[in-house]
Amino acid sequence: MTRPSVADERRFLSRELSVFLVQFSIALHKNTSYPRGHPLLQSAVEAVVLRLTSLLVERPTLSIGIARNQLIIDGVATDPENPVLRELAERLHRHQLGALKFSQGVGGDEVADLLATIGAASKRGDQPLGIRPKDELERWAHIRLFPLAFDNLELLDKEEAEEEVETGRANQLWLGLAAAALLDQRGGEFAPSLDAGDLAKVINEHRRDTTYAKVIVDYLMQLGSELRMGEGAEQQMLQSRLSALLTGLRPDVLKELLEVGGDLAKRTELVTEVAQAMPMGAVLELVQAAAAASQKTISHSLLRMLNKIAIHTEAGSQVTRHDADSALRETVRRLASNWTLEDPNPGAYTGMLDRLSSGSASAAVADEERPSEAPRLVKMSLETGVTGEAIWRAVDEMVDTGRLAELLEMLDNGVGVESTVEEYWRHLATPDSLRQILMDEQRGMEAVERIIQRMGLAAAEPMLDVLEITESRHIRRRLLTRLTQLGNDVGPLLQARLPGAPWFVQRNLLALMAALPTWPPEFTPRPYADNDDPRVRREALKLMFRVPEMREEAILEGIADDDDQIIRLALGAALERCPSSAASRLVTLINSRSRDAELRALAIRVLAQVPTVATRNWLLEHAVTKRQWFRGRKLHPKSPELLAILSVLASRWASHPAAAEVIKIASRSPDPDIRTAVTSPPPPTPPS
Amino acid sequence: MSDPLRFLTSMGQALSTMSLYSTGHPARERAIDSSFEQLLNLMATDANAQVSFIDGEVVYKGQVIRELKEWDWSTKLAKIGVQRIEFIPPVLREDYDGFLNDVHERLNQAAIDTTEARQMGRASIRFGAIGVRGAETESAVTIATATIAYSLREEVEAIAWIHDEVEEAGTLPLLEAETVVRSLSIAMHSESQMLLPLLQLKEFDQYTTTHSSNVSVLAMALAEQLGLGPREVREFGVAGLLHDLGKVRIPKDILTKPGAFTDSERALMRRHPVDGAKIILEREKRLDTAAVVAYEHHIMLNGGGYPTFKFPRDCHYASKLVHVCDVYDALCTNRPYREAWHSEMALAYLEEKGGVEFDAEIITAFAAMARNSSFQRVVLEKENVDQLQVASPAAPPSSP
Repeated sequence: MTRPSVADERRFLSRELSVFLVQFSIALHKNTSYPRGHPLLQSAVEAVVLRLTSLLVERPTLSIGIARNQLIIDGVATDPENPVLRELAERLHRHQLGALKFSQGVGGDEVADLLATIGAASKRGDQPLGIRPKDELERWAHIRLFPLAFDNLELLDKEEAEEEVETGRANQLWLGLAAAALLDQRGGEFAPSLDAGDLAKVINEHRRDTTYAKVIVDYLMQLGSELRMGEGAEQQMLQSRLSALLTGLRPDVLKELLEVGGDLAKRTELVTEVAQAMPMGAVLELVQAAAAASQKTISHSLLRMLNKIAIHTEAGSQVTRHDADSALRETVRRLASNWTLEDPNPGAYTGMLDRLSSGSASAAVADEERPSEAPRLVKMSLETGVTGEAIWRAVDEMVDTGRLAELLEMLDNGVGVESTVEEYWRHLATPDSLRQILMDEQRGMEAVERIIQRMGLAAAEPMLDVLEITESRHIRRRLLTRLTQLGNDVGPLLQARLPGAPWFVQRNLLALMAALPTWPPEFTPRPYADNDDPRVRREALKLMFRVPEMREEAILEGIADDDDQIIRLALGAALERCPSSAASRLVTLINSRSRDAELRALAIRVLAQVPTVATRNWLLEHAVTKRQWFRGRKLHPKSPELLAILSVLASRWASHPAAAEVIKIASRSPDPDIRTAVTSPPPPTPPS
Repeated sequence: MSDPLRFLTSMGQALSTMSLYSTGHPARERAIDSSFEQLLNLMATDANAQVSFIDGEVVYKGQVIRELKEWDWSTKLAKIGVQRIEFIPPVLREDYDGFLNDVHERLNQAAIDTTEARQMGRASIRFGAIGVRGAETESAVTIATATIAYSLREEVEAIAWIHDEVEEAGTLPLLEAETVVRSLSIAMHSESQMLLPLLQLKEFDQYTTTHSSNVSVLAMALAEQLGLGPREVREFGVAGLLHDLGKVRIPKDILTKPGAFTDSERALMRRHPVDGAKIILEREKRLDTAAVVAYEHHIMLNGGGYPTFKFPRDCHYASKLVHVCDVYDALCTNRPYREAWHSEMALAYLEEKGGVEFDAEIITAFAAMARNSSFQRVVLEKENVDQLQVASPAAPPSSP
């Protein structure tokens, strides 16, 4: 049975927000990795701005709360197990930031600067942003950073802080409104009446211009907000005053004030604020005036229903009054929110609902909180051939909750409408979608493979993005394999990302490049062989070993490197064919006592690849002690180096008299290892 | 052989043939044609012919037809509540076909297809139970026992407007639909006891509107009875209100067609669940439950009904719940050719089918709700939507 249960209620972050957060995280990550001005930063910022702009079409602001390892957005907390979002939360939290707010109009420059600021501060370990001077946090027009107060999530907003300390704010606002209402009429010297009826009369008769209307509307908005937030006697007084004022204003005046004094967003906000706390009669007056000012129509049916419900807010049983009141306020709020949407399409409506659901005690919250039955919707869609926002939300939900394999099974089932199945694939096989999918290790690998296969080369960029930011070795390994399977076409993408990338990215990209059958023609690993990080140098040298023109240089550099692993790699390469120019470096290495004995032994074997007299003499010299009076030569103390020398002499110079003497001494040794070294010298083997 | 005898015998033969052959089969059609011809013959001499079936006997013009004494069909028809058949000229062949189909379905206890409970013109054939003249029959109970100060005029008109908007403007005015549900909910709770403000169909052209409102009310009441929270209750109310939305895509002449449907018309009617789901999903992102209910509300617990799932699955809880409310309201609605079933009769039908066609748990809750003395059923006649009349618990609906 599919009976809904309140206990089962879980909320999921919308797909759009989730994608935005991932993009933001990627962009921030790049800002900590790449230097300013790097071309990859620009594309990352563009991706963030694109998402952000789309999100801000349907809402005036987007606020992100920051907890220690989660982000809270639209009342939904991100999954603390999601490595990308967790890292983003941790990074911002380390900066003692409690919230981040984007407003409509935010541009690429602002976002770029924000990311660079956070990124640079993270990289340098500077003072946390949250404790820096306020002007630094407020330096962007459309972005605000809110510091974390007292190590908890209380946001220290300026306005809120002021509200805490001020008393009688409602009275002050009312006085302000009264003063504003008389603006220009009495030359500033007046004793404003606090009576709402008088005030309404003044406004009704006042010459109205844009400034006047704006001021009045602004005051109304602040009073509406105050009304909603305040409590006690002062709030009751304000409610009564505001109600009388609104009902006292002539409808044409109210309409004109709203028309001139506020844009659509302001009018919506005003209605929304007022709808929370005003008597319903006044609310309906305002709704109708605001609708007229905004050239929005309220259906006759709805208006009749609202008026009818309004009657029940003042009559009937207490329960009826309460039900009617909450029904009406919620409806008005939703109606007003709907006006802010340019196109009342399903997506826009959802945006409105999303905003509503972020409110505190909205009646709509629980409805929106309950997860939809995504698989059921998907099946229904495939059976009927219908798609739409609701269906894509269901599809995304299945993907986001680790049910991708189940979803693909449905597509493969063969009963779905063919064109709809194709539409599904077009929805799933996108870079954004893949980026999301790849972040979760839980998903069936086969399902992911199918999407990658479907996308072809288009899958490379999202895979590379994830490769850059994932901390999971498993994911990284799988991505490297998948990227390799895409073949040579990936090369140019790797090449574009390499310059300026952080060491771990460069390492991975070079490793990927090494796995390709051929590289892009203009690519050279040479610059990376000089990288400060040995892990990058190692991968670069591996690539250089493969290029005949670079091989000698790579071996020489490798042997001279500080890093044992690189030296071992270089020796391994040299074992096959060692350039004679490497001899001196090999000798230096062998003489370097600080190096591992096994490494030096390997170097000795490599040295044998340069069969010069000097080499032979050096080997002999390091095999036996000098001849002494009354005493013959004897071997140096047993060591890996000695065994290597003996082995090399036996395999390369066995016929040389001096070497033969040494071999003879060794073959008489009581030590079986020494005997073995000259009797059956092991063939030179490359290091593991 | 007299005309009534020939007609009744042919009617019995037609009903027997209908149990053997499906719709459209030549044998079936021939039997109906033949019986219809006998009916016309009868009406040529007695335009307003009436036949009654009482205690195993057939009464015509106050006389028992001796040749039909202990006629099987007399008992069978009386048992399913067909105690009298009245013919009002002109009677068309499709009227007669519809009548026979309805009787056939009742005889066979076929699943109630609420799609068939459509808007039809006044019937030329009426049938139902009868009582002794002068005595109060159940269907003649006057139900006005109280009046509450609540009107459903706005709701009814808003629902009609919503249907028009969907049909003509191609938009789904969700806010209006939700406001209707909120208002219905307020009406339900406007007294100390919960009321079920159900509209009684008076004019057949109002069927879709009244049915939508009633199913919404019943769905909310049942959801409340089952302990769901207020938001879910309203969500189910919206689903109930929109469950038949797909019917806006059915041409009016089919919706109002008297008599039985042709196969193609029936196929079109049976598209309304798919169309309803499409309309909702294409226009609204957050009406998942309503879309699912629109799609599934004709699917039975045992998998019967329509549409057929290509991905076998259990129906959504809300669909099962609305299905029960949908059938109950259809049964309790006056049809052109029969009286509305009494509430108790409809409940007995639902209980009988519980666990087979309907979710047993939901049926139990529904029956408990309908019979619970704390609930009052309110019946609203079309002309009187301003005034709700409160009936005693589980009282039968008023006569049309």
